[in-house]
Amino acid sequence: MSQYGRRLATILLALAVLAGALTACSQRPSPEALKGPAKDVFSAVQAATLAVDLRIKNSTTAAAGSTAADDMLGEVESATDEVEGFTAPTEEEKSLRDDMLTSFATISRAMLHARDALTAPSGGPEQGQPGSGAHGLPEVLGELRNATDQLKALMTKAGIQ
Amino acid sequence: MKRLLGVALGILTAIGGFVDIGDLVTNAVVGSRFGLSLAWVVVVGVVGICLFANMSGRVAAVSGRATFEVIRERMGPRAGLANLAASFLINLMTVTAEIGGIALALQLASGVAYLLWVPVALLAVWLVIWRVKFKIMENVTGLLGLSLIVFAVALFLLKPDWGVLASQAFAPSVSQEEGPGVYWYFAIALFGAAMTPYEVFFFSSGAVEERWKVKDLMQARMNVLLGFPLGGFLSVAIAACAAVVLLPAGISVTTLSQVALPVAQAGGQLALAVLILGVVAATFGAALETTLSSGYTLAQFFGWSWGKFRRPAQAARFHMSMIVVLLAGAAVLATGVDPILVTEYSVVFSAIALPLTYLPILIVANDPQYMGEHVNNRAVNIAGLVYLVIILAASLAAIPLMIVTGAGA
Repeated sequence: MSQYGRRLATILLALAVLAGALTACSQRPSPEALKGPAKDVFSAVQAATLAVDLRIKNSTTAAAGSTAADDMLGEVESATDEVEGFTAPTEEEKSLRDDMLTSFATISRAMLHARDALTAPSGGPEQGQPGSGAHGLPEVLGELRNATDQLKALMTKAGIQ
Repeated sequence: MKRLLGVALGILTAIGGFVDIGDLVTNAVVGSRFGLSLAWVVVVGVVGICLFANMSGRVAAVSGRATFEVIRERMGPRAGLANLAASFLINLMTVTAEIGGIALALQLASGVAYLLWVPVALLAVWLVIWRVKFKIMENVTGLLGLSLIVFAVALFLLKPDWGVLASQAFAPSVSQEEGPGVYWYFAIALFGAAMTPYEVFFFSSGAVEERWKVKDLMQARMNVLLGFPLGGFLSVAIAACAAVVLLPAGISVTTLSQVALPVAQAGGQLALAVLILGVVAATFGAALETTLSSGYTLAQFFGWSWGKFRRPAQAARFHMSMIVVLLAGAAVLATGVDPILVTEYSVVFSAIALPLTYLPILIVANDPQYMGEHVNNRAVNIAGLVYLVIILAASLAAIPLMIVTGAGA
């Protein structure tokens, strides 16, 4: 290898190591760092709410509705993984991260209920059906809205616009 | 009368065939995040694709050879190889995105996971390329793709505040939340989606497949000059639907299922069914075009026998290369990579590779050895040069913006 080639290889290796080191560094759960995942989850829960609302009005199909809910569940899972990767050295940051994760978990649960209800051909079982443990679409809609309000309140508290 | 019908069919096919997964996703993403403030980019992109598609169609009709073949001969193997490498890589990404798009649309229709639809889509695309005549293939997918007009109908049914949409479109501004870097990153993505290189290679090779002559140029020009702008109108309608329903709700598009929500809200299950038909047709048509484009560019560079007008046995390497491309696309999707993410990257990389595609076309369209009296006139050359500057700027800015904005995150 020529001297020029060796120098180029060294520079490329150094850049690769630097890129690796930068991506390996975990972020701190500051409001700025949490902004992205929080907004992603907010967007996902709003989309799932719209899908359930449309299904209640019979404006969408079970397949399209459940696909939307399933996709949005995936978005929440990605955001949860991202926030779980944050290291929180201070109590304040740890509390903020944990509150965010609790909110994401509530949304995730609501979305699972939404997906199940949307998959059912007529929008979920009749209320009070013994032993089913499943949720009807109106109940799921309420659950999603409550979870959204909870996330909104948390975002406001954390100063996330 | 027959000629008039042919013109009408050509225009309708061009409209239906204009929108692909890149246009669908990028316009919906942009609409949900910026409203109509990037609609001007669609206009710039449509004018550009009209200009260069027209040029490459003229090269094919006058010389009787596809643009890529002429570029290889006129500019030599080295420049041809650079063009081939860039176009082929973008084609491969686009084939992957289109097959993923078919699978996602079928998931929307059935609820069955998209990964299970990938082999079905792959087989269907290959069968059509193998068995169906070029003209039938182009017309059927183009006409069914017209179902995407449902976005324009949905927009009217949503009864938007037209004044707000007009002010977004005609007085574009960058929201503080998104920032100028993200705005320009998506501007480049939208430009790349409108000016995808495969479109011109497919257009010129299609001209050879259909044996265009100089007398057919007027019809070709009308197809491009009416069909593509109307296709661009569909792109704006997609963005507008997202701007009216998703933007106010804080929904940022990341999946195809979200793109369908405004249409379902406006027109219910019937509109949704038409939309799914349109998406399947548009992505299927684009998958055929990109797969064929991959085969065309490879075969034209290496001098293999090519074309659907030949029996597969007479163009074996052309057909084999397309099978390999399809399998490679399916293999990428089988890793579980998000097809929407592939789409988003494919349109940006498309913008990066644009100068390598469009500069040679401009050079060849000015060579009297191939074009005789049909070389570009002065106005077309000025417009072509202006576009080359825009293309170069977009190409140079794409990667830095991608890094700075985290790919528009």
